[in-house]
Amino acid sequence: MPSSVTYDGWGEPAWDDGSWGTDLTTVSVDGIAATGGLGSVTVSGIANVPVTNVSGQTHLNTISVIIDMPISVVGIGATTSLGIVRANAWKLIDDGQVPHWGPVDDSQTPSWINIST
Amino acid sequence: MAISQAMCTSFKKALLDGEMDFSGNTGQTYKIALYTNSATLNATTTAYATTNEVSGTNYTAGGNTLTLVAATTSGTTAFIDFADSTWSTSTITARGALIYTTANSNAAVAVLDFGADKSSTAGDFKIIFPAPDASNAIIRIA
Repeated sequence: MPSSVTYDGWGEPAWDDGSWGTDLTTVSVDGIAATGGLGSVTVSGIANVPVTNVSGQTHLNTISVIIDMPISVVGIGATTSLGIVRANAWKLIDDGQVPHWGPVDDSQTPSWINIST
Repeated sequence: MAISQAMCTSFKKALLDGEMDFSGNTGQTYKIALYTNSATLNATTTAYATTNEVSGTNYTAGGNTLTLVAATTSGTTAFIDFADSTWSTSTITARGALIYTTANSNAAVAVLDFGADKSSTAGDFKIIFPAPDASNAIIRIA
């Protein structure tokens, strides 16, 4: 708080303060302070990429990978058929024998059957 | 009608705008004017005005020219000081004062509130500025 002193009369103030024979009123004032404030700053992160010589922005697109798969061919099985082979059991008649024929034994049991038509 | 001690807001802006110069070699001229208790002075005061300024013997409108003590620092605080100012053999009654610069249309610096009317009768009226240090100097920026 400010304060004041009034000196009345001769030589009341301190030595060398005021004039001889003159009243003195002093007002001591208070100082005034200003407080400096720093506001907050918002820093946006900008990534600076240091590049040498040529700068270029690369972009990787999406790629489609086509894989050529070799097809394994499974062997195709082929079934072979063999025809029926008929073997004729015969032999040459020795026409040098005498007689070179023989009578049919008709007492034998027929070994044949009639074929159905 | 009131006088409230304050550092004028316009002064703060003027500092930022570089319109106030307290340097020792090219400093502006600063003055102190006295006002009666009818004056309205506060942080919104922007310039010296004669309204409700003191009138009396050996008081001249506009007040006294102040002797500036160059700005200095202590720790993290910067401050300035003025030499005490006296109206000799004056008859004055004042309730407060305005410190202002004669530059920039008499731009206001600070308002001083004496707390009560202070008077001199055919005597010296002396303004004693506080000790010039980081805690007491008349104008400090901490």
